[in-house]
Amino acid sequence: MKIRKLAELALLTAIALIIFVVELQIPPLTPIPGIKPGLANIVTMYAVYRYKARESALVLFARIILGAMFSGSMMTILYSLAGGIFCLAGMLLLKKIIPQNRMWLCSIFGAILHNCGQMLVAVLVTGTLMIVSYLPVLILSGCIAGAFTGVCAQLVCSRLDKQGK
Amino acid sequence: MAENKKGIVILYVILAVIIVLSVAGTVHFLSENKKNTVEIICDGVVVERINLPTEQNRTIHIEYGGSYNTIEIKDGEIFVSEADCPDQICVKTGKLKGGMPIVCLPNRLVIRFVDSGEVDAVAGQAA
Amino acid sequence: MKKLISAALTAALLVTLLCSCEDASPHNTDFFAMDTYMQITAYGKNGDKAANACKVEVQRLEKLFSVTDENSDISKINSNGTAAVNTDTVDIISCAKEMGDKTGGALDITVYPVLREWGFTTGEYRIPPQETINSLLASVDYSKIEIDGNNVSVPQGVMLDLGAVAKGYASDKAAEIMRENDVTSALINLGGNITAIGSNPDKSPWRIGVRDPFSADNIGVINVTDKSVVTSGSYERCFTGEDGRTYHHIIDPESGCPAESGLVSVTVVGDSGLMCDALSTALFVMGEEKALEYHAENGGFDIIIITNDKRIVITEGIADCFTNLSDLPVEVR
Repeated sequence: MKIRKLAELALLTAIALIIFVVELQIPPLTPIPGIKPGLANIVTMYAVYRYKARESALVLFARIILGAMFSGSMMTILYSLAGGIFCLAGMLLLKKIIPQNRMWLCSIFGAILHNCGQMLVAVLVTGTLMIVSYLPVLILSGCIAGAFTGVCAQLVCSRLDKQGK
Repeated sequence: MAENKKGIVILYVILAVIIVLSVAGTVHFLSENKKNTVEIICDGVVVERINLPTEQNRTIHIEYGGSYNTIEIKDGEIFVSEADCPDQICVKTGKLKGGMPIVCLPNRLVIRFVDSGEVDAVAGQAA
Repeated sequence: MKKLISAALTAALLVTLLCSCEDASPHNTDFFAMDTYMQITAYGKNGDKAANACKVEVQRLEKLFSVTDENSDISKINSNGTAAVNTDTVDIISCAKEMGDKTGGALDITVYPVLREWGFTTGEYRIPPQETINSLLASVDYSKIEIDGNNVSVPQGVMLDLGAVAKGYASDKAAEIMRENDVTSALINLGGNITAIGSNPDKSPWRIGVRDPFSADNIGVINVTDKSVVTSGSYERCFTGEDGRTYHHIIDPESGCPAESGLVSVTVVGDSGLMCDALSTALFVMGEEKALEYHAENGGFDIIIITNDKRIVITEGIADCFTNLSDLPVEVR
């Protein structure tokens, strides 16, 4: 790995972590667990569209693991990891179909997949299928959050493009 | 490029379907809120689970060891209307509210909300 | 470089996975014991084991303390006048005697013959004639209980009933089991006799409702961690006599009649379940002024008093964690 690439990825991870930690300070919008804006995914989206698959994976997983350590809630790491893997895999595939000017669409699908991954872990951990009835609520909130972070990432990409030219 | 557009249209359709399904699922989820779900338990066995607000008015007859309790569901509320236990505590408790279950000790009957809502437990219950 | 990063990440992942074994799902067990409905909820990886151990312990204690079970320690004492009993039985009786002394006899575990005459033990309620009460009162005196090692003896006619303290004692034992199993989040609800272990799994305090004696709602909520909350209320077991008056089950050992102290319920919040249980009964008998006096002199607990004339009186220690949900006025004393 080139030093320049390494530095860029480290920078991205750091930015994602900062966003993640700042988001922790925002009081939850609803009393329901699992619903949150997920702003750190702006960085993930950017990495997906600008870097190789394994490079964006590195940024995402470093952020998830370090984020869990910083926030001190190790219990949530299983959920974030499962959600992260689903989300990343989906977005990397969809990236081939969805161009940069429709990134928000890719992001929404990523968010939905993230929620599915979380739910899978929740079902396994609690051993109750009952909670699946809660998935639609998660997905709806995921659509809204995904669209927002997607638009943000899209703006970041297009502005950096303009600057680059 | 033409193929790409087709792919995106398909994705839009998939997304639309997911959203419609989720809205339906959410409405269902919210209407069947756990806070409104009542369990009728007799001798440790869940006899019935009822979503109170949507339940039709009816009476449930439960027998245990030769004794009986008549449970009534009326306008989204549940209570024991009649019982042959000596203390009649289950009947006197009245309508089921919050964290305190309706209990009939002699007949081993418990009626309670699955999720007690506001509080985790209630001190000083009628049993 | 790449190898180093992946090695570091793998290590970090392993560490975090190892730390993440905290189990957040509740383990519930509910059962009938001691004439009431009990629910025990414990969180964490030992939760299931601990909750079941509590159930077994409560059922064991019930077998010792029951007045209706012929083979219980208490029944043996009541029928033979003397018996060699389990250390738990010795423990609870000596604690109850001590509480009797401290409360000036407001708590008396020998009030059973009177309670039985009123029908509170069977549900076949009746108002006994005054002569009957007077003659039964002669044998109501907890100080006549003699404890010698594992032997407990009472004079002829004196009968024990641990109804006012058994659940409190059991909740202390259950709390002990929870702590031995490193459970840091559990709720022990022995028929409205509540002991909170630690806090909710999300670290917020347990929210315990206090029943409104005037309706079936909650009059307020107290937030507690690591505390017992016990309520004695005249609404719990009562009947309307032929004379149209309401008679409740908290008997004043002095008069042999349901205590008329101007209170409808007393809730005690403290560290020991046994103390809370005993005090909730004793303070109810004492009435508002004497109860507050007792609190001022002894301390170590807090109370919520609800009076006949629809006032809520609470002590300073829990003023901040009590939320009034009713429209009754609250006085902090």
